Amino acid sequence: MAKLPQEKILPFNDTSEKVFDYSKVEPFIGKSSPWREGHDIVTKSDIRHWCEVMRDGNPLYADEEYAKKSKYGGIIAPPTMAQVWSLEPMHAALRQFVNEIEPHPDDPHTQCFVECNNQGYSGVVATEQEQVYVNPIRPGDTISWQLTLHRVSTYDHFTRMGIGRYVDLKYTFKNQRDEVVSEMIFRVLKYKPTQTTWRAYKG
Amino acid sequence: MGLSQAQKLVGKESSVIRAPDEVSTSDIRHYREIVEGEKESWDTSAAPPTMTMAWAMEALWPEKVKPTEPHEQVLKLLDDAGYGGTMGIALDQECIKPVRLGDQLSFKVMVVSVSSSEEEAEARKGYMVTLLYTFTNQKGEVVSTQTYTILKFKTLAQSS
Amino acid sequence: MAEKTKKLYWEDVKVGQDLPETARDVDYTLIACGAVWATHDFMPVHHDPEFAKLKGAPNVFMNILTTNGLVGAYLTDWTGPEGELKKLRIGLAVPNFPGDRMTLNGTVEKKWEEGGERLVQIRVIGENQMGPHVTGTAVMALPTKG
Repeated sequence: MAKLPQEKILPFNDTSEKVFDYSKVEPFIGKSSPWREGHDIVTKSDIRHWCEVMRDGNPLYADEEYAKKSKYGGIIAPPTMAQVWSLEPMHAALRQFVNEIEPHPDDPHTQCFVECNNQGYSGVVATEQEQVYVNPIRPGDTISWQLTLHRVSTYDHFTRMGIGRYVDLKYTFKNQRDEVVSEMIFRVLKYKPTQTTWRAYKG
Repeated sequence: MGLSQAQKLVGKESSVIRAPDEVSTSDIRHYREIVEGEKESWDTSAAPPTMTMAWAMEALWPEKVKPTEPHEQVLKLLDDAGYGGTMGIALDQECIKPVRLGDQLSFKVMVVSVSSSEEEAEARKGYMVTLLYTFTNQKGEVVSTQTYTILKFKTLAQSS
Repeated sequence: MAEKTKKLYWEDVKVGQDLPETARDVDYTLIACGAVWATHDFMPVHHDPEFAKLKGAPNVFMNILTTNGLVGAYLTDWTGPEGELKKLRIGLAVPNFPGDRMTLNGTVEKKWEEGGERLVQIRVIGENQMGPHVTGTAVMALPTKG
């Protein structure tokens, strides 16, 4: 293990380490992003590419003949795909994750994440999600979405990744007919990467 | 050695193989965003001519286990003879008609030539295989012909 | 792989019944293609080992959308194409790294009728050799014999 830098070692009863200031994220809770449209329409290619990786042979997703005779009347996407069309295209995604340049800096959840980063909770990992499937997704659909900052933990959690706060994001996905296709609560952990401070027992 | 059988397959052409996907906006955009770099928007009404070979790529799953076509058999013969490495050497493309959104491409592969004996190329020992791809669209029009030369080579593991 | 003719009826499902176990080798192809090709996720921790190490992980690891897709496929493989996913909740624990092998198992927890549909609740668990990767709860609507 690397030698601890002297200035990072705090006596065990030191109270100078700042506690997360919840009041800084509170104004964003309950606020939503604008509605945005997916960068591509839903295509049969997207569906086949998903199915060939997941090894999902469900004929509803691939077989025109079979799907026509089903209650859906045609090919549908696996419902678990709902979020796919809301992900950032390549360059914007790399800027976000590598250069830390947010694609939508004014979004309430983005401002909350930036605030978490500023307070040292810069790690992020997806931990949980719940999806509800309302209407089928079909080739040719345009999927739009809106994100609401649903909840932020009011106290620190001690996790395998480090000390952190859970942030719940609520997504609503709609198609071009304004029908809800899916709703999702997406929980991420904003955590303090472990090498930020060390506490040592003296004596 | 089974390699003499490879010579017998020279001049043989595959059956018509359907591309697993139709030409779609998503595929065109995904290709353009890497190849052309970031832009305000990418033209997804037609595919760049260099993209055509993408529709000949085999699906990840379900996997085709048995090589039934002449070119697949040639490659399998070379794999089994210890030339498991594959390296692209040249791609000569003739772009005859544009590939448009919604096209369903099909293609045939002809085995043009296989080295008669082991050669050395790009600091590797192996056999050169030249394949001719002919792409057609749903109207039966030839959109492209592509001559693809690969080197099937002995990998380090196989050489020892 | 789902069979076209497989059709699981609500009446034939018993509470406490186990789903058949399946297993999948987790390799670089599944992790990188799952992220970029299937789920359009360019986060480099899923396809760039150097970047993943920079972020504190030993290697690239599976993204949550791929985990979600694998669980969804496991469920509809069991029911056949007439089983309909209504709700799926998943929680992640141990990551899936290249070289891991994940087994998927499930148990039927509940069975009921609601809003004209015949529903089942299934508890799913995906484990690799290091422990649980995903635990989840799904609600599915099944066809009835009438």
